[in-house]
Order: sequence, then structure tokens, then C-alpha cells
Amino acid sequence: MRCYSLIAILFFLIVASSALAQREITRKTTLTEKTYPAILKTLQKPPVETHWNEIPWRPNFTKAIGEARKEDKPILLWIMNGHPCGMT
Amino acid sequence: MVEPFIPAADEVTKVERGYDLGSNVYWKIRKRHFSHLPTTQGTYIVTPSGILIDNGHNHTPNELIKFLANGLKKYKALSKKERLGSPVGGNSKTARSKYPKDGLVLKVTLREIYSPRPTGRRARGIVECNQDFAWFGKDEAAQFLSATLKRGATHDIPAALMMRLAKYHFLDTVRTFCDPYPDRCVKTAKLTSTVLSVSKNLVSIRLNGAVHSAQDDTPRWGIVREARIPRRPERSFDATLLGYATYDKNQQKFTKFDLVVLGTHTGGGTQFLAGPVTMGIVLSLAGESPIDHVEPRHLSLYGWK
Repeated sequence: MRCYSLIAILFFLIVASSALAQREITRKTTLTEKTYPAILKTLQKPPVETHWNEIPWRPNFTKAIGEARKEDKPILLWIMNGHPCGMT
Repeated sequence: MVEPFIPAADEVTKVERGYDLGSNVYWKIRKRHFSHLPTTQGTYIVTPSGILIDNGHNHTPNELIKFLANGLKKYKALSKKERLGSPVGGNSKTARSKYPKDGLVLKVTLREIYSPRPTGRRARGIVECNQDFAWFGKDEAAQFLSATLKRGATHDIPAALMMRLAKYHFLDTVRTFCDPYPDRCVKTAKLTSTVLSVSKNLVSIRLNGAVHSAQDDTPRWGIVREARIPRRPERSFDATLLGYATYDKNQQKFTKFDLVVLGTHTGGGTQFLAGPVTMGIVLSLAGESPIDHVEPRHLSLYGWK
């Protein structure tokens, strides 16, 4: 059941992550040694965003085909303009 | 639910333009099922032999559960020959990665922070975060350090490395506009490292700097033409940089690296808000998993051979 949730979260993670950033950084926020720790923490991915990373994506379709053939498994393929695990 | 599958993620353009096994399987499916579509972005369940079992794009959690369960059921209903046969050719070897194993591999996380967050039509196109990777070879990584590793020593990071960051990584990729800035549009790209402490093996540094990029002639359809969304000609990014890193002299690599970039971005798509919008970027050490080895979007422009 946990894996059901992981897959579902995959498609919502990008939108869902903004709330935290919105709360702690405003237009008036300046980057100083004092504000640095909070800004760093805010900009780094919140826990909800990490779930899609828990899926062991193979970042290359050709390699995945070889592995799927060996293991007799279907391939769950996710393709985007830009690599889904990089910049889409 | 994922265990019965081999989950694979890849880039449409790369797969479309390739000549290897993955590209051949892709084209077999595309020609048969999606020849009329302008884009094939989405999720698919396919057999290793290249049979399309199902596809989708927008899923609710329940739809996804059904999508995966039904896909698996259909896969199991196929004969072994259908599942594993090899109806298409193509090289199963893949191009050698330029991943700089001994260098500096940074995960780049970008956020746009709207305050207040727009609603309704004004919220169109707002996605708010994206990511990428920035790569530096071993010799390039060492250029983040002063030649004199003494407390208080300062060093300006070479312009070539800063131009890489400013042109290819400090971009409004959040709203799909990943067009690199031309050289002439990078007005300031400065980063100075200061040695904070030196122990037996570890050197701690602080990174301070600024970046200012501005363009007033962005092509309407962009420099990166896959994203066919009309751009405004004007765009800019004006930001402060601050970070801390630790270099291990024995390992000859950074063991900690965090660089925060915070500033104001303007411009973007004609259909979206022009800004100004606060944009934050964090560059931190990437992990070791296969998905942390994904190439930077603009690696081909790095000038690496």
C-alpha cells in the first residue's frame, strides 16, 4: 500500500512543495549569514517531495529494457520533455 | 505496487532522436499508437518486447492504482514470446556517460516564491519548482578553492565556471523556460571563496557572490525549441549568492557543499506573470543513486569533450 502512495505522490509533488517556501521567504527577504540557514532549509526539498525519489527509477530506457527482459517484468516508463529526474 | 515493474524515466527528445534499442521500441509504439500526437510525454506500461499495454498522463491516486494493477494483469496474460520477444533491433549499449565521478556533482533545486500567490487566470503556468544537476570535473572542482589553503585566504572562482552557472543553471526553469543566457547577457557572475578553517584534512570555505543576467531579445519560441511556449523578449535574474563547503584534502573532493542563490526574476512566457518574482536556487551535493547521475540539461553546451 505504501508503494501505491509513492506512485500517486509522484504526480503531485512539484505543485505540493511550494507552501513551505511561501511561508518563510518573501520579496523582502535578503540573503545574509543570519538568514542563510532558514533560506537553505526552506529551499531544499521538503520531505513530501522526496517520495518520488524512493522509486528506483532507471534513468535510461534502453538499460531498463534489458533488465526487464532478464527479470520478465513490465516496464513502467515515464517520459517527459527534459529528463523527469532532472530538469523537465 | 512498483516491485513487479522495472520503473524507467527518460527524456522524450533523447529517445526520439536516438538509434538504440530504447529509441526503436519507442518509435514502434509511437508509430502504431500515437502518430497523431505532438508530444508523447506521460507514463506507459510496456513489455520488453515493445508492446504497449497501457498509457496515461494525468492520474488521481485511485486511477494510478488501477493503471498499475490492470497493466500487470495484462502483462501476465501475454505469452512469454509476446512479453520478451525482440521484434525491433537496435543497440542495447548506451552512450558513455560523462558523469564526473571524481569531480563535483551538484543537485540544483529551483523555487519561485510568489508572495502573495496569484489565483485564477493569473496563476496559469505557475509550477514553482524544478531541479537539475550541475557537473564540474575534478580539476574544475578544485578551482573553487584558493591555492593557499590558509585561514582567511580568498579566491575568485574562475569566470568560466561562473558563466556555466549563470548561463545554464541560474535560469527560470521553473516555468519550463530553460533557455540558456547568451554570454553577452551575463552582466555579473562573481563568486569568492574564503577559507574559514583548516584542520588536518578538511578545509572549510564560505562562498559569497552575486549574479545579474538580463536579456531583451529572447527569441519568441526560445533558444531551446522543444518547449513551444511563446516567451517575452525581456527576462532577467538578479541575485545574491552565499554558501558553505568542506573540502577533504585526502579524498580530494568536497564532502559538503551548499550554495544558496536568492534574488528576483522577471520575464518568462507571454501567457504567464512577468514578475518580478523571488527565485531561490540551492546547489547541494548530489547522491549516489542512478537518478542522481542524470545529465545536466545543458551538458552539451558545457564544452566538454
